[in-house]
Amino acid sequence: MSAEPQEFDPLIWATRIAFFLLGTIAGILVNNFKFFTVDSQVNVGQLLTVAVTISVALYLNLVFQRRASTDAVRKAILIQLAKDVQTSLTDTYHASLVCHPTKKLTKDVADAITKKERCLSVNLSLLEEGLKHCYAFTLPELLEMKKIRLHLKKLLTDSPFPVGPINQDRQDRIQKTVKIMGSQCVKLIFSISSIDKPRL
Amino acid sequence: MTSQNIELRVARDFTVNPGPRKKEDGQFSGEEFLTLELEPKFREAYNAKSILTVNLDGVSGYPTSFLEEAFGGLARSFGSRVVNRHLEIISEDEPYLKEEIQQYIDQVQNP
Repeated sequence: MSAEPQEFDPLIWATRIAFFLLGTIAGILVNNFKFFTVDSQVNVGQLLTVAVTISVALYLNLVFQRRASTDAVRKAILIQLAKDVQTSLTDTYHASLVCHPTKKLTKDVADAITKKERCLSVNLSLLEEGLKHCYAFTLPELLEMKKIRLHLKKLLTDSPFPVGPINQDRQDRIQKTVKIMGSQCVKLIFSISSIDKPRL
Repeated sequence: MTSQNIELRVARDFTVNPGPRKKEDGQFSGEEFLTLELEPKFREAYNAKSILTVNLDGVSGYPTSFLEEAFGGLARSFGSRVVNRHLEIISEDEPYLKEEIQQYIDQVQNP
């Protein structure tokens, strides 16, 4: 899996800003330490309050960091699944390019188209499954891709398939549909990378 | 539904390489599947007030022409309402096949 460029994540930036502010306050305290007067009557309650506050802050920081990291991994996996869809779309298109506008299809060509198209279908369903699992919703781009995929399947494997020939008009429509689905897939990848509501 | 479901496995009962739409176009066509397997078993399930479970797994792939002829053809014979009531599709290998078949059934007008 290729490394994705790191994107803006509000949680990570909130944590960084919190640390920056804490560091600034700590620096001011250290520099002005000699001017502070300490109450000699420090009681157990005050110490407990400080300990609990620090513990809660550390725990929250840990939770935020873990969630931000998990979300980044989820997005990377989903984007890889979308790239698998792109690859299988290209493979399907390449398999269909062998079709001759006037000659019948060979069994091997027909089998290759059926198998590649099935691979595309399976990859798209895996992406949908992944989105539902990670974010409990489906993106509109994916719904659009499902419609286009079915239209492409009809163009590729409806009559006269698997006998053929697949005429020039049909091949042009296949090419156009592949282009539309490809650009829809790119839009989907951008949508996945900008999802900002992880499943809790 | 009253009695036990009837099962039809395409890979076991028909072929692992589904073919074209019509018989004259080649072997293992959708038309052949409809007349030899799907329609008789569906009729059996319908008469027994049962459900026909069609398992699509274990084959190389399903062309649109095959599916439309078989399942659209079944809906043209019995009506989509009856088919929806007595037919169940299982497709673990390719989940979207269920939605696709449902479209072919639903686009048929009820008698």
